[in-house]
This record gives sequence, structure tokens and C-alpha cells, in this order.
Amino acid sequence: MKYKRVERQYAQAFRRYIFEGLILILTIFCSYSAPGQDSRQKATVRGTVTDIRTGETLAGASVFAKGTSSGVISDDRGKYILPLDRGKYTICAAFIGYETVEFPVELNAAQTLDIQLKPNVQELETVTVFGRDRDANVSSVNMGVERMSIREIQRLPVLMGEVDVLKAIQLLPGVQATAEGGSGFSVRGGSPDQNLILLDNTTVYNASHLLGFFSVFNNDVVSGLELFKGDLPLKYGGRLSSLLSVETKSDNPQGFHGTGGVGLISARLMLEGNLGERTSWLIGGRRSYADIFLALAKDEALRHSSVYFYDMNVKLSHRLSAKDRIELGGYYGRDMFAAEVGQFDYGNATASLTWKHTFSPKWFSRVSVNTSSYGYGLGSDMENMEAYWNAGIFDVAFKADFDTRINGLWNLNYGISSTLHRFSPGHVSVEGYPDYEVQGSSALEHAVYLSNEQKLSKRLTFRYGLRWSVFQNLGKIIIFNYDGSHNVRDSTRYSGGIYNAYGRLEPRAGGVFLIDGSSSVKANYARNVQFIQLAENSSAGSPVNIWFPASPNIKPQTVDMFSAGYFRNFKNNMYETSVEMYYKKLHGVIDFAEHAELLLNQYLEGDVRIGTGNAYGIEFMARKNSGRLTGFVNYTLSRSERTIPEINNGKTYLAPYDKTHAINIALNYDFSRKLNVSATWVFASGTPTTYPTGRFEVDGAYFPIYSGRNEYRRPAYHRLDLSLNYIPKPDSKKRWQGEWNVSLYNAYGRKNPWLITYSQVKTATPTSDMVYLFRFVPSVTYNFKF
Amino acid sequence: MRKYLSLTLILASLLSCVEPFDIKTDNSPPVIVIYGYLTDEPGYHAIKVSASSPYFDTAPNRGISGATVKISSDNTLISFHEVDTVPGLYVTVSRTAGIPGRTYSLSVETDFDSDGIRETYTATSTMLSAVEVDSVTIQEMSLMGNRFYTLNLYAQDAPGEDYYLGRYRLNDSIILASIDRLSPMSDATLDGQYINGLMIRGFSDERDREKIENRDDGENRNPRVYLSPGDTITFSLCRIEKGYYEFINQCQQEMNGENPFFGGPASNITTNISGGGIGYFTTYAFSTVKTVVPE
Repeated sequence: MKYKRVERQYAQAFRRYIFEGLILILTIFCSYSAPGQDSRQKATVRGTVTDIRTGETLAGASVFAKGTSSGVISDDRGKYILPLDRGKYTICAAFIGYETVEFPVELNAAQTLDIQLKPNVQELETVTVFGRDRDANVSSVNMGVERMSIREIQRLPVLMGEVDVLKAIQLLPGVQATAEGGSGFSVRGGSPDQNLILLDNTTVYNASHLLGFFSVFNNDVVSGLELFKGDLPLKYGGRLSSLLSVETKSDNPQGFHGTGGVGLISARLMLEGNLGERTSWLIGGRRSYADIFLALAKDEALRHSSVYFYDMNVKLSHRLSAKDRIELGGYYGRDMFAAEVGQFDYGNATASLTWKHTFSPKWFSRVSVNTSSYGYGLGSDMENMEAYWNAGIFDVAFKADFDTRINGLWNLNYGISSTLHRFSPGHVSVEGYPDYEVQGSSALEHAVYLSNEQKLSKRLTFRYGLRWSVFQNLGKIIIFNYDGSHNVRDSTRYSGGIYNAYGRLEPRAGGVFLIDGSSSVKANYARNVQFIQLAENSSAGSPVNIWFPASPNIKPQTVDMFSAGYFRNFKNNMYETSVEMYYKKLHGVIDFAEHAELLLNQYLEGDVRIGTGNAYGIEFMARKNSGRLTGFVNYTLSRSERTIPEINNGKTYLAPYDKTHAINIALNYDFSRKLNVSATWVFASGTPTTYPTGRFEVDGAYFPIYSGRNEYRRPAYHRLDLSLNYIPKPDSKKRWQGEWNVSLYNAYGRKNPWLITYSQVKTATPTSDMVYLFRFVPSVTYNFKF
Repeated sequence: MRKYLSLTLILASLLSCVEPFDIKTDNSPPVIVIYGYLTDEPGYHAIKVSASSPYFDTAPNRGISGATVKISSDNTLISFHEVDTVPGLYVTVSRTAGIPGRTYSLSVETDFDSDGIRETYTATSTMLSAVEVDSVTIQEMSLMGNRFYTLNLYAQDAPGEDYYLGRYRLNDSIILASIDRLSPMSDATLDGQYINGLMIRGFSDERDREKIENRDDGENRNPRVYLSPGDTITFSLCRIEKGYYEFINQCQQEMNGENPFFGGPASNITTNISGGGIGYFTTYAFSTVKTVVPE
């Protein structure tokens, strides 16, 4: 059977990855068998100096201890080792074209201090940075941008012991979960397919595991994330609502290190190290093992079932010269559900090859080739019903991005990208019958862009740019033409080449005006265009994704977004606050006809309905960055609507992601270096929904007559999660360091409806039930590093 | 294909809990509901006329008496009269049969809105000719620890889009006939092919009855059909219109509420009744074969 063949390929691929990974690890172990006792008399500070904006390592930066004669220059990988006597110092880092930074350091043992420098736009100012500019909330021209470090994410309470970056971003203002416990998210009222999710600059088409309850991002491998809520950097495009950029670890470890964890449902391990001075590597893997418990199930059907996922990240980084660096990255993950009747598996595979080049300290480039695929297969093993169904999407992209800083007036970003998409909407083979295939298609998506950030005065900075996107359908295909009532009128056969093209201009501009050193106002405008979309009807995030492109029948979707905000920091940037307002107008927004058949439908385009949308809102955010108590509180008031002539009789209806009120609170308190506790509380207005207002009867069974689309709301959603992190020996000199995380999800046991179902017993009238998923879900995870 | 997907709900079912939930909605005003079909089998055919009611109303839906119901085609007129004992149920005055290839128009005349003027609700359907069934066989199968019988179909599918419906009799009783139990089929994946023993329905084994009923306790909405060796299954393959195929599918999809992964937004069930009514009127022809459950 075909399924077996495909499954074997996956298995082989996985075995190959594991095998190669093991070889690599063994090589490292052998070469590292004698770590060598360090006989230093002094303690050292070591780390990497990088550009805060590009992440480029900076060679030749000077790092010194203020008031001493000790100082070093970072090497061609941006690394420095500064030997000092034990004591208190102020470590400074300086580099031409960058702002000098200072760090107070109390040196008792060897310390790692990674330094990020901010390009000096006009004049040298001394600012202390940690992670990013401490006053970036106020001073940066960016709006609607959220950043979270993995450290911050890891402290949050978790569901079933799995730290999940996608659940963490759902706590940010303007971001909503699309379903209970799910990793799908909606940004400012947009649908989940309007989010561009990048893992190391490579598109991830379906970021979920286990039917959406977990994300594909392994927290051991991830270093942090950035979320742009609509005003995307010009470099990026192709989605209306947001860009989520997840970065894997990129610092080069000195020697061999690892992190990992054992949790309630999965175990993970990440190993990293270097091969000589110029090459570093990382390999991370994760597998869920909850299915082991299925063997104990009372139900025989369950005992014969398996449910698991695994994933694997690899990264290899090599510095060719002081100015050139090459990175090879990959991700492979798969979910598997199997029972005696059949199997279902799905997953992503991505790979990227990146070449970073520094022409001069003011001119950088990044050139990459990226591939991404998402696919799934459903197989039936039942006798006389053997069938296999598979579908997916495959991309290969070329990107070249340049960054040139001339002076305060000219900080240019420019580049090109070109992506080939291959859509396979569905292929079914039924044993003994010819295969059935919904015609696939191909398309090219190109873009060129140029943007500039201009500091006009000490107070006023502008950023503006233009992106020109071109989308071309190509290949040998039959395109169905539809009449006014969406029935197939006739078809057009194309024999190859480009048969349809769209070109769109995407202007984006914004500015920041600093009122004083700690407050600013910002405003911006962005137009985004989306050429490919997901045929998805359910809000729960089905893995059965069908991506389909703009075509002669379907024009690209566009959004115009206006936003403005007031930003203010207090107490030397310890507190950050902001108020942002946005208004979005969507054109050509897509929804589906009532009862649309999205699966295996040749005439899918005939089920698409097109209209307009509006979304607007105001987001309040307050964050405390340092001290024993850290965290944030935010509140969003928003609305998201659609108007589509053939849906809901043409009346405007609420988008399924409309949540009038949303409150998120995430707090962390450090009792000591050993113990910290975190709590998150989320509240959101109920999801808009359609309820039955009447019923009719046929043959003794009752069928619903519905209200208008999304005329009602479910009960409000709220939930409290708690966690405790315990580090038994924070000052241990031993290599192995362990840490316990205990979490309680939904601590007061709120029954949040996941589904509303109706049931009727013969001869009785219907009743409704709600299905809820998670109440009081405790978990314990042991994390370690070495 | 949708059926295989229920497999993926195994996990969700492990984690979820269910409890009664009170939905408060405004009630929509009553509309007229008309449902019935005409086949090519000589006999009495029925049309049901009723009123819709609030979704959670505890009283059964009310039949509409006193309507004039008739079906016309070319120069033939089929008249209906109301059954005394069941308000709203209209049956043909005499034994009659539809003829494949003809288009039939149903008209129901009644003063549903009680304004003193009788409205007319209409629907039309073209009876498609039946597809010959060569045979069906019953095979035993073991699946997840239970014994099953499968019904396998042998027939030549006609080229072009076709939609089918199976009708079943177990010995002398009609089974699986209500809308929520029907399993309509589309030939999309096997268009124009010889259907060579495709499994189209599964039945439980009488020997597993006790085990299954203990497990399924309380869930008697869809009582299983149990077969024993020697039972006779009479199978009719009906060739139905696309609209009716969609009506059945939509009814089955909407009746249980939300489906997390594969359902779309709640949408009203499509009707072919004009004039503001809902429900469905259709016609179909069928061919019939018999088979005996093997020892």
C-alpha cells in the first residue's frame, strides 16, 4: 500500500537524521574527552559582541574594564575573553559606529557576558543595554512590536509541562488564542493564516503539534521571538496580520553543552558545541511519550492506538572569514496518530542555507535559500476500504537582504526575494481504483523592497519604504471559470508558463517623536498584501490544511493599517507603558460559502466568497522589567468585522476572532535565586458564535435553524495558571545544573467551553452540551543544562 | 473521507469533559417544513408538512393539517390526502410510481401564516434512472477487538458526477432509514469505474451485542444494527440528485453542533422548497439485491 511506502520514507529520513546526529555527537565527545583543567589565576569574562539589530557578530570591538588597563578586542567571530582579578568592575564595550555600553559586574567566577551594540545613529551616547535598548519601547520607531526572550517564556506557567512560545505570545496585547489550549493565534482580529511564522527566516506553514495543543518550537532550541502586529519590516510580506519571527540559538558555545528536560508528555534534549574555532553546531530533538499510557487504557481500541509527535532541529554555523559566515539549518517534525483502522500523520520540514557577509562595518548582506514543506497523509487500513490521502505545500525561496548605514539620514535596508510555491491540495488512492487528484498548481512570489530610517533631529525619526510584490501563477493547468452564482461555467486550459500575474505596491511608513527622554508618540501606516491563503473553516486549527493561491478567480487580499500610540517609561526604564490604537481596512478578504466543502474539492474557488473587513482597537500595556517582581499587564478593547455579500445575507458579521475585551496578566516573583513563582491570568470576551434559534423535524430527528452568523457569544473565557521554578543549587560549580518547574494550568478549574454540541435522544427534544478540555492540569518538568 | 478523520479525535476525547449547557437565544418565528420523496417503486408515497419550533422546545413539532398536497409531471397528477391519525402526514390517494427521466413538481397549499390567504409552496425534482447493482456481499471483519460484518458493493458506476444512497432491510424490517442514519455516497473518487466490492456499510455482530451495549449505555440515539448468520439483507442502491445528497450531509453535519477540526461555521441547511418553506422534496429510482449473512 502506498501509505506504507511514504511512511517508510519518513522513517528513513528520521533515522538518517538521528544517525548523522549521533555521528556528529560522537565526534564531539571524542575530541572533547579531556576538557583540560583551567589553571587560570584570574576569573574571566567572556562572551560575544553582536549588532542588536541584525544579530551580526562584531569583530574588532573593544571590551574593557573601566578604570583598569585590562581590555581586549573581539575576534573575527565577535568573541572576547577578558581576564581580570576577582572584584567589582564596570565592563564597557565600544565599537566605531555603535553606542558604547557599560555593565556593572561582580566577578567571583568565570562569567559570560554577551554584549549587543546599537548602531550609533547620530552621536555617541552612553546607554546601558540588556538584550535590547532599555528605552526601545519609547525611542524605537517600531510600533506594534512585541519581543520575548526564551528566558521570559520559560518562566511562564505551562500546559502539560511543555513550554510553548506560541502560547506565550497569546498573552500579548492584540493577540488572541483561536481555541482553548491551542497554539493557533489571531492578531488584531485577523485569521490565523494571516500570520507569517518564520523559524530562522524560513516559513513554517503549520506551527502546531497534537492537533494544535503544542507548538512546533522546541524551547531548548529557541532563543527568542519577535512579533510584528501588522507593521512588518519591508523585508517581509505576504501576510496581512502579523509576522512572528522565531530565532534558534545562534551564540557559539565554548565547548560542548547541552540542555534538556523531562516533562509530563515529552522529553527533549539539545546539544551544542564547536568543531574547531570556526564551526559550531546545534542539534535538538523532542518526542512525546504520552502514548505509552495508552497501553494501559481500559478501552481495547485505545490500547491499539498510538498518538505521538517528534521533532528535530539542526544548525551548523561556519565562519569562512572575518567577514563571511555560513549557516545551515533544518527542522523536521511529525505527528502520528494510528489505530487499527488507519493512520494520520502530518508535519513540517524546513531547511535553510544562509550566507552572511560584512562588506564593511556599515554594510551587511544576508543571502539565503530556504525550503519549507508541510504535508499530511491519512490512511485507511480497513479491509475493502483501503485508501490513502495526502496533500501539502512545498516552497523554495531565495532571499537577498542588504543593510547599509551611511549616516543618520540614510540607514537603508533593501533586497529581493523570490519564492516558488507548489500546492498539492489532495490526492487519494483507493485500493483497486484509479487515483483521484485535485489538480495542484504552482506559483512564484517575488518582491523587491527599499526602506530607510532617518533621524531628522534628536527627537524625530522616520522610517519609510516601499515593497513591490509580484505574484505569478504558472504551469500546465485547467482553470475553471465560474458564473455569477459560483457554478462552473467553463474551463480554460493553460499549457504551461505564466498564465496570470498580480503586482502590488506595499508602502509602509512610520515615525517617532520623542517628547522627552522617557516618553514619545508614534504613528504609522502599512499596507500588506497576501497572495496565498488557507482553506480552513474550523477555528480549532485543523492539521488538514489546504493552502491555495490567488488566481484568475481570486484576487490578492490587502490590508491598510493605521496606528498611533503613546509610549512612556518610568524610573529609568524599569517600567514601560504604552497605549496603541489601530484601524485596519481589509480588501478582498476571503471567507467560504455556507457548507463549503474544502477537502478534495476541485471547485474550491467556487466556494470562496470575497468581501471586506474592518478591525480596530486600542491596546494598553504596562510592563515591569527589573526587580524581584517582573511581568506585564495589558488590556485590549477591539472589534473585527467582515462584510461579504453572500454570507449572512450580506449583513456585516463579527469575525470569529473578535474579542471585545481581553486582559492578560503575567507576573513573576523571585523569592531567591533558588525559587521564583509565576502566575498568568487571562480573560477574553466569549467567541462570537451562531446558535440555533429554531428547529425542524424530519423522520423523528431534529435539525437546527440558526441565528445570523456569529450573532451570539459564548461565555467569557478566563483562566489562571500558576508555576513555580526551583533551582536547587544556583551557585553550583558543577557542570550539571538542574531546575524543576511545577505548573498548574487552569488553577481554579474554570470550565471554558471548547465546543458546544447538541444531542437528542430518540423521541425526546434536543439538548445542548458544552465540551471543555482542561481543568486543573498539573505538570512537573525537570530541566537540565550542562 | 471525513469518517477516517474521527480517528484524530481519540486524543481529544481523552482530555475532554462534557456537561449540559444552557443556551439562551431568541426564538425564530415558525416556518413551514415540507419533507418527502417519490420513488419508482409502486406504492404509497408520503409528504410531511409541519411547523418549525424553538430549538429547545420540549413539545414535539406540530403537524400542519388541511393542506392541499399534489405532485404533477407532464400531464400526470398525483394527489395526496392527509392521514387521519397523524396531523400533517399526507400520502398518495392510490398506489403509484414515478418514472425515471421525468421532472416532478410538488405543490403544498395552506394558510401557514394564518392571514386568511392560502400560500403555495413548491419544489421540483427530476427522477434519475437507477444504476444496476450486480451484487452485494457480506464479509466478516475484526476491528479493534470487535467483530463486524461489512456490506460490499459490486456495480458499474456511470460516467459523470453521481450520488447514491443505500436503503436497507434486515429480514422484513426497514433499517437505517431516518435521515440521520443514511449514508449517502458520491462517486468522486471512483467515477465511471467498476465498483468492485467497496465496503459501504458496517454492521455489528450479534455475538458482541452485550459487550457493546454495556459500553454504549445511555447512548441509544443511534442504536446499532446487529447481524447473525442466516439473516437476509435487502439492499437498494438509489441514484439521488446532488441537492438531496447535500441536504442529507448538511442535516447530519449540523444536527450535532460544532465539530472542532473539520466543521465549518454553523450554516442553515439548504432547502429546495420555494416560497419561504424549508425541508426537501426529492425523487429517485433504485435497484435492489439480496444477500444472506454467511455462517
